Amino acid sequence: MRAFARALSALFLWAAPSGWRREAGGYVRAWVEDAIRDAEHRGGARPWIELTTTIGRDGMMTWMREWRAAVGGLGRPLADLRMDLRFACRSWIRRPGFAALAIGTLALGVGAVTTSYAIVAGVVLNPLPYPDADRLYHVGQSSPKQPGRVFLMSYPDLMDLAAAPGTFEAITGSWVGRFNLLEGPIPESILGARVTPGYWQTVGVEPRLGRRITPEEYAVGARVVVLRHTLWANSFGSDPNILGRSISLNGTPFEVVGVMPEGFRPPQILRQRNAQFWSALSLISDEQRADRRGGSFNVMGRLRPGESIETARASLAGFGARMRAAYPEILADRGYSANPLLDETIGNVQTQLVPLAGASILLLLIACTNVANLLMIRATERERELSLRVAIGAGQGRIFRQLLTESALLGAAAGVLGAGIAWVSLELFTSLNPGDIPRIDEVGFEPGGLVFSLAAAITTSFVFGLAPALLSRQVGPAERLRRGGVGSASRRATRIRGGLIALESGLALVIVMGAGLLVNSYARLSSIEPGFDVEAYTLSLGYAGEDDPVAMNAYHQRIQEELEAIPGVEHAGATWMIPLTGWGWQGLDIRGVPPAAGDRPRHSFRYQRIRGDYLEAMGIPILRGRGFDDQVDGYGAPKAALVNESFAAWISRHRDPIGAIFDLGEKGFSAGEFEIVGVIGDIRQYDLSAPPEPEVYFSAPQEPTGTLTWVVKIAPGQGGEIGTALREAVARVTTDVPARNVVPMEARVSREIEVPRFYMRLLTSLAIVTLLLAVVGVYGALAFTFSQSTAEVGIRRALGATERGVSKLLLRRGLLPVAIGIVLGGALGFPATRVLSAFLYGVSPGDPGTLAGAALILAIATGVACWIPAWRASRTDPMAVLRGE
Amino acid sequence: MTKYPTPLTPAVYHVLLALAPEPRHGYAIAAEISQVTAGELTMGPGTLYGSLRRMEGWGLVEPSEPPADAATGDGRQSQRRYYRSTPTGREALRLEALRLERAVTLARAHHVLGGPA
Repeated sequence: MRAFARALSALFLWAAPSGWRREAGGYVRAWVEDAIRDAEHRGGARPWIELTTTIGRDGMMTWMREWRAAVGGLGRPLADLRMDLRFACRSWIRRPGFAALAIGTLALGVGAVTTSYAIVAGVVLNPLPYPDADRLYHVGQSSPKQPGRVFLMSYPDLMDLAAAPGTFEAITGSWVGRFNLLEGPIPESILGARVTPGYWQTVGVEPRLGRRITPEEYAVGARVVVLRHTLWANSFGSDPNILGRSISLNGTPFEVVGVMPEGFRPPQILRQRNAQFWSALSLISDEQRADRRGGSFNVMGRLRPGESIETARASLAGFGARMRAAYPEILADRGYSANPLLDETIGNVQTQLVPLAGASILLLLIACTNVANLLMIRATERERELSLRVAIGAGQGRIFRQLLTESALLGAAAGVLGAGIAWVSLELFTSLNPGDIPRIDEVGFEPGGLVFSLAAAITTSFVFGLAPALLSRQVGPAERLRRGGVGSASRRATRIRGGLIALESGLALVIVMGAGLLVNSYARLSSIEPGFDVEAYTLSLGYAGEDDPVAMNAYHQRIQEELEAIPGVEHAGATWMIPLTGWGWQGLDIRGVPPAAGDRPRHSFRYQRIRGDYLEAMGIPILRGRGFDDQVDGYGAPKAALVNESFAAWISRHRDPIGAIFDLGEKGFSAGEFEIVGVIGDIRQYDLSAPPEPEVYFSAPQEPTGTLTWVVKIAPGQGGEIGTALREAVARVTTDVPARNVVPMEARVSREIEVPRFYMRLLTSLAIVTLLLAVVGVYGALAFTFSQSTAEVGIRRALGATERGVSKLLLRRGLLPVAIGIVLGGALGFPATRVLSAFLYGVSPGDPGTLAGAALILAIATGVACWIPAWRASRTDPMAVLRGE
Repeated sequence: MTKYPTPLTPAVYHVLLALAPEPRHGYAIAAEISQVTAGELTMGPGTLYGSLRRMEGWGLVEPSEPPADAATGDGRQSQRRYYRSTPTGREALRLEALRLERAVTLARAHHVLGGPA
């Protein structure tokens, strides 16, 4: 910052009239040094921002005033500038295709880098949206087995810590659950948080209306609630008299005591991203409040000012020692620790953002290379014009300034267009976000990325825009004019152009390789057979009645009957966990199968509970034996189980699956013996990319559970208004709980491949743009180089070379730098593709087939870009050339 | 020496105010002004230098030796230029303050500023 402030004032001094500079220079420098010392003394970023804006504004005003005073009116400098600008515009307009290509190319690079910088800044670099966010920490239990990680805490531990928070100024614990809000005829299912009263002090944000939940209310478990702004606006019409009103949550009245400010983003680490209200955590069950063994609550703390992560961890270690001493048998190996909230919030998102940022920087590099190439071509073209201007008396400085103006104009136009591209693509990116990038809602336009990429663009156009002036300095104007701009001096330019072509092809290869890997991986992922019918419709439904098996079964039976009665419904059934959402684990003690090795003798399996025509609705085949019948396998009847193919394959090493008897041991969810009655097809229950595992299916009527997800198979061509029909059918049975997630199975499946698809599309579009840029760059450069060789071609042809021979020769010349580029790009890209390994399914980052394919694509594309100009040049009529010479 | 224009511009008024108690150098004047106006009036080096030069021309301020306690051993000290206000400057400041006071009294009489009649 200090250097920047000095440089800024030096720049303005330099630009000012020399008389004024001599007179006031020392004064201004002393002023700036004093100001810098003062800003350092005050500390923080604010004084620097004030100082640099003051210097900038003051410099502009002084510059204008002093020039006006020095030359009378705006005078020469402005007139010169105006002339330069006009001339630059004219010279670009004279070559509209050239200008559009250069500006468009640079704008793409600027846009890509600005976009990815904004994303990286918004997600990783910017502080979290709370006051003094660097003092916020995720606090919890730690385990020597997984050092560095912080886990959940039990309620008694949380209360003990909150009572003696040590280095923390405030501590809060949170639990988030789903609640039914009854406001209007149909209940709404919303997420709500239960928090300890330290919540508001910890996040550092106060309610906008009303107040926090007080410690007194917390202690007595008062039913009071603070609303999120969105809930207040959407469900209560921003009612200004909301405070004191009673609202119904899960059928219980709560009094509204506060509304949080608009734009308040609850901490994601507390799982509160979508929480709509806050109530007291003391409302959880007595068992949970007493359970010191379990860990159910996310805890966050705000450090006192001046404390560090080390002192915080030390104080938590002390807390842990006290706790272990007080409860030696429960907390034997537990410790307590803390991690910065930002680190925990963004997790390992860097693995996702690195390829994006890397690809966009490559794109910018290629764009700059391309423009450098274009400007070099233009430089050669203009040698004659510039020589003429020097010959008739233009000073070297005047020409420099003219070229600088042209370059600045190019850079500025690219910057404006690039900012527009960045703005549009940011909107697209944030709206397409597949939902797995934390803090994506905090991403906004960041001027920093624009400044960086613009600096790169303008530097490129300056350096290569000035090339003509540098080249023309080597040879005197008279010599140059005589040669007519064609000859040996362009040898050096040709070599630079060759280097640029190699660089461009190499960089493009890296991106094309990355995109190839992602396309390959996505193709594999989307061709997975899930094992079930993706056209089935699903809906999740809770249960609000009493905890009694008979009542639950009756309720589910009525739902089933209502669903089956909908016209067009062929099969209706339900499952405890719909595929791709979750599972349960259960240990089985199977007769005739030796116990597992190790200290856990029971074999553990994932399990499901299903009812009705679940298998038929999902299209899961029964391979052997029979399926469930809700009457035969009902509550109290002999217990039956189904297993999947993988289970059958596993058990057949010991015995036949059908007829096998097992129990769940004393800790199982159900007592008694089960008999395996059938084998069904494997499905991808947990994760599309994970192969099926052995699974056991229980009959839901036999082992009733409250919440089920229903699956409905509809006759072909009947699916139109099915969503409404399903909701209505449910509403005929219950209005206490809402039907949630009414979507086809297909939507759930595609959500699963949404993330890979998103990255595949993103990188593939970047790769296509890059490839296009590279092809255009190579084509342009060679077309120009070959057109410079018309004399040579004409002479060769006149001496008897064939059209074919000449085009071969030229092609070889053009392809040499491309080949060098591909080799270099391959060497560079091979390790670089490793950053993609987190995204790849079924393909290794170094997959030789894919990488070779990418190199081939690039070789073909650039080969065509070489061949066209070579072919055109080889058709030069030798007589025309010789006549011209 | 030309007569200074009246009423004083805010910049001239505040520079004179900053120089009233003691001679100051460039940045100290700017910092004082920024502080007393709560950041409403910030003057960069070029603007301030221009103002001081014009005020010197009108005889409102003059270059001055640094005050005795300011002489710290700093290499850049020599480039600091201290100014103090002249008797004309002090008189101009007094007249301007009087004018402003009259303006405020008038405003009060018309209840522009609220408060009791």
